[in-house]
Amino acid sequence: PTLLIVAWCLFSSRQWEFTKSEWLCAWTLQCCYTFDEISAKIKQCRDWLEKEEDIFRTFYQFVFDYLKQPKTTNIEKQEALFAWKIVGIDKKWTLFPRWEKFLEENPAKVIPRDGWNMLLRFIQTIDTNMQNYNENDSWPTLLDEFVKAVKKEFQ
Amino acid sequence: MERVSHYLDAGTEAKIKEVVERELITAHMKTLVEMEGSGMVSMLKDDKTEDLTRMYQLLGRVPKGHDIMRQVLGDFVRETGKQIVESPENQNKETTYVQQLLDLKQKYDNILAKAMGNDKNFQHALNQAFEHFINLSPKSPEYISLFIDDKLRKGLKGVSEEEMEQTLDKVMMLFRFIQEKDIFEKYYKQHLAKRLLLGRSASDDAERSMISKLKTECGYQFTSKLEGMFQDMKQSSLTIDGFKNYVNALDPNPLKGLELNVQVLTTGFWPTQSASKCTLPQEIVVCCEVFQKYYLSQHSGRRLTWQTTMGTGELRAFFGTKRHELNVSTHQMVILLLFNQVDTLTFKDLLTATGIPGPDLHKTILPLLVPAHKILLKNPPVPKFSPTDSFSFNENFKSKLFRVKVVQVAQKESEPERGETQKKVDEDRKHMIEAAIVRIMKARKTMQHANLVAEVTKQLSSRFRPNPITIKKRIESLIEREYLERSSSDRKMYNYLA
Repeated sequence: PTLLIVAWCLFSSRQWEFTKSEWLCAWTLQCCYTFDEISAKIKQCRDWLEKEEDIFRTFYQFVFDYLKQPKTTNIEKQEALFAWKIVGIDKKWTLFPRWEKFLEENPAKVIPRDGWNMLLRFIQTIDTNMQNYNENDSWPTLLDEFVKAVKKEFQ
Repeated sequence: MERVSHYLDAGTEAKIKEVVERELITAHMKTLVEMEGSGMVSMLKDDKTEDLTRMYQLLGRVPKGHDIMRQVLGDFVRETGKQIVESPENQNKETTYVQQLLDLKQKYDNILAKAMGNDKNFQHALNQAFEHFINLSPKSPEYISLFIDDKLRKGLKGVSEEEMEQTLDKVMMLFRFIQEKDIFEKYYKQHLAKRLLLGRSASDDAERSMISKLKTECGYQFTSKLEGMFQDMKQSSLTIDGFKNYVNALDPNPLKGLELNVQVLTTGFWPTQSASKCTLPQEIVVCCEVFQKYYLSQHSGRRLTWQTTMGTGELRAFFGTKRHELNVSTHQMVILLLFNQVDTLTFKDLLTATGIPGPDLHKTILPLLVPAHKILLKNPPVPKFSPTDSFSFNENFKSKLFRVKVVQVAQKESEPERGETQKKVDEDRKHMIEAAIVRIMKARKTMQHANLVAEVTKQLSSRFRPNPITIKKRIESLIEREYLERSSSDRKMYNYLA
């Protein structure tokens, strides 16, 4: 997800476009003046994202806003699945294949921002056997349905 | 006991009493109460109030005595009530269903009064049991409304005003147990509309009395539309009087001898009806236009839409030499008037000429074919309808009565109609939940998820019991529409976004 990381470092606001000022500003802030320094920085970011949960969260939330269309508050299901794979959720989370299958069967067409953000929380806090999940809690209803489907399979 | 107080120390009395009670009563009370043939259940079944009084007083002496009785009472009432609610025979007979519930309540109110001195805790247990089984069946609200409808239509024939009041009060007690009061309101509105528009309400006073009872129970909001419906009826009759005077003064009479009665209904008050399609014959269209002109001259800035589904028509018909007056629905009238021009028409002809959609046409013609008032003949005379079937005017129609009333409107809903009503109720509920959420969040600014759900449930409890998952869905929708946001510090907390 190098491109996304670059976009994130640049606080880029428009999809797939980097303005000259964004580029210059951001790299100057990071004190990177040569190409080598830039690639070292990017590598460092990548490490951070692997290790620090909080930093990953900011990156993860940024990715949603970056990938969505300007006037909307959600992204299409297929795009979301794609995005999750890019940022590496599929490797971090053992249940990702199951989640992918669930989404493909589910009639929902889009993933709202809240759903995107909450998924990360879900991965970070809920065990694989879902014993500590409480559906009367403030989890989005999509996750409620997912947990129900998975629990049914466990039985 | 007096002998004891003579020779033993006063302090011992209490202790000995306790031991005696414990040994004699507590040890055996469970068995006593639960005994098969003579335990509490059989006492309740057979209304053995004296036995129950004795048991109540006896068990009152020990701490847990009443708890056991309450438990058995609650369970037994729940069981009996559940049987009434779920019994297959009662499924389509609203009056028996509700009557049995009323009788049950009466029975236990008596027992409570006579045997238990209206003990508040027992009253509470009884109420909880009733609330439990009444809400087991989703049809309870509809049936209770139908029961009331039946009583209000039959009116005071053979029933004194006092008895009517008493019955209505008792039904109100059942009403209090309904959790889904908004469903009841929808049905009550529908039934009231039919009663008012078709002139079936037997007593205005009884109707008003019922509405004021509902108002006391549920507040002004619940009944404001019902009262609006009454206002409309009154206003309409004044309007019609004015119209008749106006028309009679005109020369030549634009209605050409036809008499038109119009009920003008304010859209917001009456249950929404899909505008039915129906092509009215020319003579009637002319009358409607005259009325419309008159009305709009009195009240400018209003829009009138003609609704033909609930109207009635009176036709003077000649069958051979006999004359009869037929009281039919507007749609039936339209169909019959077509036979003034031709003797026979096919189903397809009727479809094109009247513009009434197929299934409705079918429902409308059926009553005209039944043996009791066979005004039309069907060829082939089989129950099934097909586009090529032909209908003809029955010259040989006979009836003992001069005025023949063709009963059309079914009181109870068909399954598809019930589905429609449920959908409308669900829509309304969604809006009410969202309104409640926004109202609460605006006041509190920030709130925990669990508290928000509890508060919403509390605010809506007078109308229905919202499901926590539904509330969650509404919260999500509001987050998406940026009325609320999740707090960044605590994911279980929401903030209000102005």
